Amino acid sequence: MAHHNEQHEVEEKTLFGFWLFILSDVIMFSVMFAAYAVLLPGKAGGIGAGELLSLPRALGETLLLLVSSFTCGLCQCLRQSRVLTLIAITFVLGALFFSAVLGDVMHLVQSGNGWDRSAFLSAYFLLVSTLLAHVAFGLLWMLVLMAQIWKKGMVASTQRRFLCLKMFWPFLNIVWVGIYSWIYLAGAI
Amino acid sequence: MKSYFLGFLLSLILTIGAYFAVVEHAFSPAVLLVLVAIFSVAQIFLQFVCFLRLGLGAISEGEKQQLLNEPSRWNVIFFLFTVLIALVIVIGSLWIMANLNYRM
Repeated sequence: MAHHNEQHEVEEKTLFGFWLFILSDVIMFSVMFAAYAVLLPGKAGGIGAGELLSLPRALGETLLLLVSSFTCGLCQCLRQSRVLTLIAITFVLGALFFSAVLGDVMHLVQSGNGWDRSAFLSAYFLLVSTLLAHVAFGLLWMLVLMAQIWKKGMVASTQRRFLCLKMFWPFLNIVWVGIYSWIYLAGAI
Repeated sequence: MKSYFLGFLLSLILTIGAYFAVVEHAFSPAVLLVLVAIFSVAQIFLQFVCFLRLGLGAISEGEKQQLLNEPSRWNVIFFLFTVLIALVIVIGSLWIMANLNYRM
């Protein structure tokens, strides 16, 4: 029992520490949103967000990430087969989101509207590619965790990693809600 | 788990609602901007409460007993502090830059 309580304490400290990491990430992203808002008029003669970005694609990407964020936390129990299935579904949806957004970004670069075009586009690329980097690490995390759960089962260490993932992935969706609303929707008004 | 499903459903409605309001030009641009702002802030808070660790909506009863004594007050306190800092950063930056722009 004493051992169990000790374990319990470690888990709680890790989860709380991870929560603090997420909150510090919130501050980092809010700096990028502030920079975007300030640099929004700096188009250097180029076209703005309304003409540059496709709204239907953004809606599709938003729905993909929202559903993946939902499936990620859908585990009521910590049963191995169920956790593995849900991580696999989340991974597929997340990978689709990643490739769709990466495609958009590549398209912008190829059409001559890269990050070096204007201050506005620099801020846009900084924000979106920072999110994409987070998503890429989240996907890598899922792959590694699935292998670990497959090998070790749901032991203390894999449980802890899974609970952290369940915070990290919905957080990325929250950042994307900000991008979707403030860059895509507000840009099209 | 109920708040978890509810959070997902409301997020879906807010996402799609904001999309069609903008695409159909349902209101004047100023009203649309306010609408998108309100919808996004609502959805962000909703997801923090239902999907993340503010309301512990994403954690089931069994897990709660296994891994957490109770929803920690500190989770909420640190969250509110972070919101304050983020608001200072965003509003402060816009304010200062607009002011500099005005004086230039």
